Amino acid sequence: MIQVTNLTKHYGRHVAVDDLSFTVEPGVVTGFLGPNGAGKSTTMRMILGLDKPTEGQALLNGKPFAEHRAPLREIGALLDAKGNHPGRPAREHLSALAATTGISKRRVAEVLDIVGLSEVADRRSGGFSLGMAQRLGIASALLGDPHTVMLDEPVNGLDPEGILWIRNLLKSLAAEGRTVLVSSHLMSEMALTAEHFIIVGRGRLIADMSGAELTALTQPTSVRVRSPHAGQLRDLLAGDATDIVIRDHDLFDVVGVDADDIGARAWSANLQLQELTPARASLEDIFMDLTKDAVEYHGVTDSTNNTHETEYAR
Amino acid sequence: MSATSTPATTSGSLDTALPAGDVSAHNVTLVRVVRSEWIKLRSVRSTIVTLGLTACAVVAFGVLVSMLSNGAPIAADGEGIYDPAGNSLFGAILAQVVLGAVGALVITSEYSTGLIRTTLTAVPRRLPVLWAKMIVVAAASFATMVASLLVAFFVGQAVYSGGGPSASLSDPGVLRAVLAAALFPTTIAVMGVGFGALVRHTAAAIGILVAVLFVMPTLFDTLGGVWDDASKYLPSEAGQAMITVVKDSGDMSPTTGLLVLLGWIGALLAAGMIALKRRDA
Ligand SMILES: Nc1ncnc2c1ncn2[C@@H]1O[C@H](COP(=O)(O)OP(=O)(O)OP(=O)(O)O)[C@@H](O)[C@H]1O
Ligand SMILES: [Mg+2]
Repeated sequence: MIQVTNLTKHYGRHVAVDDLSFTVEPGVVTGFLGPNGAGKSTTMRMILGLDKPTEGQALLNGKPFAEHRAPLREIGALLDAKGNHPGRPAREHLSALAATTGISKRRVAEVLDIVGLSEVADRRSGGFSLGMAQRLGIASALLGDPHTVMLDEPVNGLDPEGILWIRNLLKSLAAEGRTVLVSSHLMSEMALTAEHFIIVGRGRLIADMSGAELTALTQPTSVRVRSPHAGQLRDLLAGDATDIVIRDHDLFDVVGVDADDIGARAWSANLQLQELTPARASLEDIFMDLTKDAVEYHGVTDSTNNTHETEYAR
Repeated sequence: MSATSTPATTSGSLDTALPAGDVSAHNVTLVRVVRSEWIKLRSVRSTIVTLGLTACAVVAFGVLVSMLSNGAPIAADGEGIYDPAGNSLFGAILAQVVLGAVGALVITSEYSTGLIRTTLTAVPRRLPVLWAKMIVVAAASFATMVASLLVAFFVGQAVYSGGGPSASLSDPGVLRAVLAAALFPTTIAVMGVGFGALVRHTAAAIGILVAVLFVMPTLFDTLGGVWDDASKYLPSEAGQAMITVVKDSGDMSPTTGLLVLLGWIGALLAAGMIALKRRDA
């Protein structure tokens, strides 16, 4: 279990993590989400005692991480930096880590096998592809058979097969009763893996809830309508209970009227429809919505520009 | 690609190697951290190659100096430039920079690659990592130097035996001089680890090392006065005092030289410990 209380980190005048409190429970995969620069990696480094919090604290199974006598047995971590010397073979890298806590060579071979690197284990890791380097990082996280696994953007650089593999790996680790915290800035990926979500933006906690609770936050289902007579249709549908968002000259979303009703009204008014799609807000939409004010680094051509006012980095 | 294909889809075998009960059997100890650092040192080929080349250079340089100085005049008072044992050990002076750089790299390369974060996750109390690195660097440097200096000494004396007087290991002070000549670059290597821990950057650490070893002595000489007196407390001068078999009058004694070097290491160790413990990794 990871307990974070009032965790705050300042880098000079920049506040990277701002009074963050949450608990990561064992038994489920917890997704740690937030836009770029939200403070996810910084929070993870503070949990590991690598960065010293400006305020607050992080406890791992009731103790600051540094107080554990067999740290690799407590937590296995993959951080965003590659974290191995390019001139050192994968097996030696893991052996060196294993040696600090008396883990056997057999276990090193075993984790190499689990991540699928056995055949290249004696090659220098500098020649590894991004995906292979990522697998080596995951191998080092699994080395101590830890109670807690914490991975920073583990799917980075993995091929589709690798992504599927890590998804199953994380789920089975959680099913074994371990605490699993995985960061990502992609809700689409985490939605398939995690059951619980901690969402941060600009260093602050935005949401800490299960997928079901997140979905319940959504507004009523909207319906996407495409028609050459979009203007007339909007006039027809406009009313107190409806909310219309114009997406394009021939495209808009309606909230408050269901698809059957829209179809019937268009039919009776003799207006042609090209598309009529009921849409349920996905976890990704909810995530986008929750973090839209916290996004620090926007692209200039943001697809949500026409509905939201784009906020640029301060 | 075939190398990464079809990894196990679950962690099914995770529990088999490490049953949950024996966590205390996995406590981190200094001995274990030393073992870990030793694996790291020997598993990077460039480090091993560097140590090997250093050994070759020490032998070659010692033999070369012996050949060049063979037959040089002996000063009337028996002191001065002619030091058959010392000359054959000249390579130690050459080795100091290389070993210092190896020492610095042992820690700065971890910062440049991000490995330090993995290392400190395994050893979150941090300080054992610095001690272990110093121990491992000292052992590797000392072994490299003793082996190569012994070869240099014997070949060097063989060169002399044709001409002027030569030395033998059993002569007074000679064995001590060989060990001292091995110890001096070893202390510089350990200082390299210290500078590396302080500045965390390869070029900066090696730059500082070169400045302390080569620039400061010249600078102090030029400044003169108090500075000139102070210059004998620089590592290079102290090391010279430690190595020399035939002494110039007014030189520091070998023991004092060693103590000065140990003082440098102590100061750097303390500063390195504070930097490692206090600063974010
Ligand atoms: N060592 C540091 N010094 C100064 N600023 C830092 C440092 N580390 C992080 N920051 C800043 O803190 C903020 C949070 O960064 P962090 O890397 O934790 O974000 P993140 O959520 O992991 O982002 P991403 O999704 O891009 O990985 C950023 O604005 C970053 O620039
Ligand atoms: Mg990050």
